[in-house]
Amino acid sequence: MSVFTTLMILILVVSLIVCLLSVWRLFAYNSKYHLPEIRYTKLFQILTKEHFAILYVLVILLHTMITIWFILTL
Amino acid sequence: MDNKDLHFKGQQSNETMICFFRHHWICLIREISYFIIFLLIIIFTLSKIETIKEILRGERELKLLFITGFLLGTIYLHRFFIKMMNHFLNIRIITNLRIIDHQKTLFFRDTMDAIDMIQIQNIERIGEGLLPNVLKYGDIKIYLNASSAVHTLAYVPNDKFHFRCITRQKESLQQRLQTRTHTGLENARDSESPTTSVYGIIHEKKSEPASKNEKF
Repeated sequence: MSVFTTLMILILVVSLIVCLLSVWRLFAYNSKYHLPEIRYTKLFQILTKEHFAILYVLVILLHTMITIWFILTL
Repeated sequence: MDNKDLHFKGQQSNETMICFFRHHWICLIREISYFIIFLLIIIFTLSKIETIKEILRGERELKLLFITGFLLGTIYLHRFFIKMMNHFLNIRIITNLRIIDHQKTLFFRDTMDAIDMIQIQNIERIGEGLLPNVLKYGDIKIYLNASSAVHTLAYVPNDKFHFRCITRQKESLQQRLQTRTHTGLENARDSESPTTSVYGIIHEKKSEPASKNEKF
């Protein structure tokens, strides 16, 4: 395995760890704070932190898959 | 009434949460704008991915440059989403007893500042400029008793509503304390030897014998 591939995979692994840690911290916060969300507390009256957590995980997974495809086809 | 930790950590038993709010979305406009530019760059890069692969094949220095760009892009991606989630963790809570300013981030900060309603001397709402008036946000300054301390809540969404909310809770608490003082004074006239607390609330000395169910 070349240095290039190793570095790319290392970045992906750290990226996944950071993503999972962030989402875990967010859900730990949710377990302690049961704040009743209404329309006016949401971002643009629609988005909540759970939406962003899901979006974050999906984006990082997509980022990982595209990078792996790139490495394999290089 | 036992509301201990009902809605948030640190909520007291006799404390009722009235409402909570976060910073106005105007704080995120810069981050969202930069992210849109970042997305456009990524889309352009992905559209030219075959060309990039051909350029990178066999070129060690260019691969190093690519890794650097990839690393910076990945860091920026994480930073954006963590900032967006931090926006949701940073809250201000108005209860019937106090105002809590909870400044929290996912990893690096967790600061809680509670201001008792009794300690509030004056409240000021500041809405200066075109954007605050059009987008309905502003600052709320809270002046405290017995000190020159001022606590500012910046970027309060729907600042008129929250200003009225704080004012009404403060008035309500003052009325409750006055009612208790008044009731205590009336009871004190009938009782033998009343005692006075720090806040001027009169407590009645108990002369009746304790019942079996009463806890000491």
